[in-house]
Amino acid sequence: MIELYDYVLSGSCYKVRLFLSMIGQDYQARPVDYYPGGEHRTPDFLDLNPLGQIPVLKDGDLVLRDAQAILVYLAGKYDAARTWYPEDPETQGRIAMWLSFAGGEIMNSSAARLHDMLFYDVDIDKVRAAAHAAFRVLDDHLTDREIDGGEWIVGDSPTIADIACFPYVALSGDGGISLDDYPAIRRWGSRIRKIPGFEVMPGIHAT
Amino acid sequence: MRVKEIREDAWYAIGGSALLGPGDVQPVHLFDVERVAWRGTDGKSHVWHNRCIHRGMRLQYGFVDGDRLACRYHGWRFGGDGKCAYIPAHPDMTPPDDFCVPAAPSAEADGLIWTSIGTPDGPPPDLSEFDKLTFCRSVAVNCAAATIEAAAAKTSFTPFSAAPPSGVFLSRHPAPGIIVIETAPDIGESLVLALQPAGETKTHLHVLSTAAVADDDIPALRRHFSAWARRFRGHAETVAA
Amino acid sequence: MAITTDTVALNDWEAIGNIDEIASGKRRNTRLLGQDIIAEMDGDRPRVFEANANGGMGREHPAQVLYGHVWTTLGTPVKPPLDMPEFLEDGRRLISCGAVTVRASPLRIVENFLDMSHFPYVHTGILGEEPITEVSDYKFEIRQPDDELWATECSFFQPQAAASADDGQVSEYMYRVSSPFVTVLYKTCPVVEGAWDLVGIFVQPRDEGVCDVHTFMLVFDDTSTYTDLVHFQHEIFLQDRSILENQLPVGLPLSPKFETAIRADGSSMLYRRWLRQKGLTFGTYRDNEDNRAA
Repeated sequence: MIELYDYVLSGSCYKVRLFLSMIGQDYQARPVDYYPGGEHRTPDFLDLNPLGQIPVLKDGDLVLRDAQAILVYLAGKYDAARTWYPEDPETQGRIAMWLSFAGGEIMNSSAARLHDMLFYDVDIDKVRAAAHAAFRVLDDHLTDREIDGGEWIVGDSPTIADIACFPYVALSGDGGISLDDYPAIRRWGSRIRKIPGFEVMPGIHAT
Repeated sequence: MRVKEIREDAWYAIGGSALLGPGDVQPVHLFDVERVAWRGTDGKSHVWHNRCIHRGMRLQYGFVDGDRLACRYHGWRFGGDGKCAYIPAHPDMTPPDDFCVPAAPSAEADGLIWTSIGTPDGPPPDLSEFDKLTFCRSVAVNCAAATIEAAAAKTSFTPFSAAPPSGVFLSRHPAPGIIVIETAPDIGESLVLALQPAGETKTHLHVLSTAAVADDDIPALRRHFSAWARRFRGHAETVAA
Repeated sequence: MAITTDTVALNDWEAIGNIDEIASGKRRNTRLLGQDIIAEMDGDRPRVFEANANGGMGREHPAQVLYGHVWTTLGTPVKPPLDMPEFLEDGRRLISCGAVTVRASPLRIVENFLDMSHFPYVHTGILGEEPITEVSDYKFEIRQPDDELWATECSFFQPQAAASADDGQVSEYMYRVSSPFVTVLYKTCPVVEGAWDLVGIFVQPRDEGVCDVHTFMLVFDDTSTYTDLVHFQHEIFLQDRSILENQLPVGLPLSPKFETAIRADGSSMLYRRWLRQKGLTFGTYRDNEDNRAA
């Protein structure tokens, strides 16, 4: 059984929960006392992930950290139709570009949220500005995709690029970052919510 | 459009009609006021105050239920006339007539949705001088409308369907919030910018092209001016800084 | 803003931090009613100081430890913090869920806590779900001599009423507001028949539109882990947060004509009336504020 080290308020854990739900794959959640307990900084947890981050996924002997890496693995192993992470190199290259963006630039939205909700010490003006810059890139991309009839970040059907980018875009309000300037992002968010198996987390509504 | 002509009782475009589909809800910022635009499954669009009458929740986070807008907080359903039609906490109750979300003026014309925070005394700006108008995209620019105006006066564009101009680019302002960028001599293709002023540091720009193109070429036309809008945004923000 | 001039707010006791966090040597630099403050433990004794402009210790204020939290007051209290005898009952577990910052008026946060009719829409599938959305009539009153607001005989159908609940149940509730920023609910315990579980929020208003909310549970539950209970509470409270940060105007309007109310809002209307009679202004909507966004 797949085991997911999970925290209900983590957008990164939500990437994995959301994807497992969409592909209909069972798993066992192992709740981590991230806040207020700080379990992710304990020696036992650091043995599992020396970076002290959630999520961590265990599948048999395999232990994976990083939501993007976990999505790549799950899509390769459990999506028999290979629509979420198609096998052709061009598509994989495009997806990898946005996975990196999801784990990089978009995480400024996560930093703002941790600051505004849970007292993390970050330069809030700087991370909000960086999140806005990232959202502008995504909104421009999705605007042009829509003009060409494309509904998703890459290709003709949703991929793990969409799943990796969605959570901290949708949760940006928690960190005081409005999506009101990004109409194409909002429409893309509505489409993601209609994918079979979609589930919510606190801060992300069903519609 | 001169700064003094930006009037609160004028009509302003707030987005492309086709991009507010049935069931869609959209936040609107106009001057310092918040509105919500939504379209029911009956195809009718509405622009309302962005605030539920019950507990003040922003209606932009609500959801469309048929031809009603539902508030996210307590599920109150409001019909197209703004009147509360259903209160889930008391399913048998008929809401009084004064349980009503105030509506703002709204109209759809030339592929755009229009609203005003005042009381306009006529229809939205007449753009019938253009034989063809294609909505290309909306883009938020972090500067005041006056800065957009200054940037537009010095901008140019590469025509999509016409030959590159031999003369100069000009801008004119046929109505509040409307800028037309054209050439002299006229090459038969202009850009129309519909401005939505949203404060000293924000203007939403709705970009339309008058190029005469076949339907098959519309995506390429829109991409062409989507790219123009990205560059223009960067230029206007540099001017503002 | 600077420290409030609202003496009604200043004269209350407020929780300003979890005792374990402060006792672990982490001095808590925080803020109450517009005043920067510092909380620390001196042995077993909590101490709270105003922070100077340079970050040093200024004037000291009274402090006490109660219900797992350090409490202080910046004024002259007219009554002690709430009395919760359940805290001493055998078999109950105190779960402190940590503080969460919310950009909202403390009064809107408390009012939301008293509200049942949002359960199907904000806590969908957990505390409520369409089509069972009706709020039955309940009782509400101000109880003297403690000057507390109580709502009783409340009930609501809930798909997953608690971390330990497997099935839906009709939960019964009592709500209690002991002071403007402190509220506790008593809810049907799914484990021990006839018992009430307690869930409460101690709202620490930093400023009129920003609060740290200290959430706790005092429950009979031998099966759920501490982490399960915290996650359940975080899920519920953070669903509320995204609503609370989007109410306009930010301040709570005390005038009955400003927002529309229905029968289910009886306790909320009484709360507003109670605040008005106290003369509280901190966190309220005042007519001289710019209201164009609304």
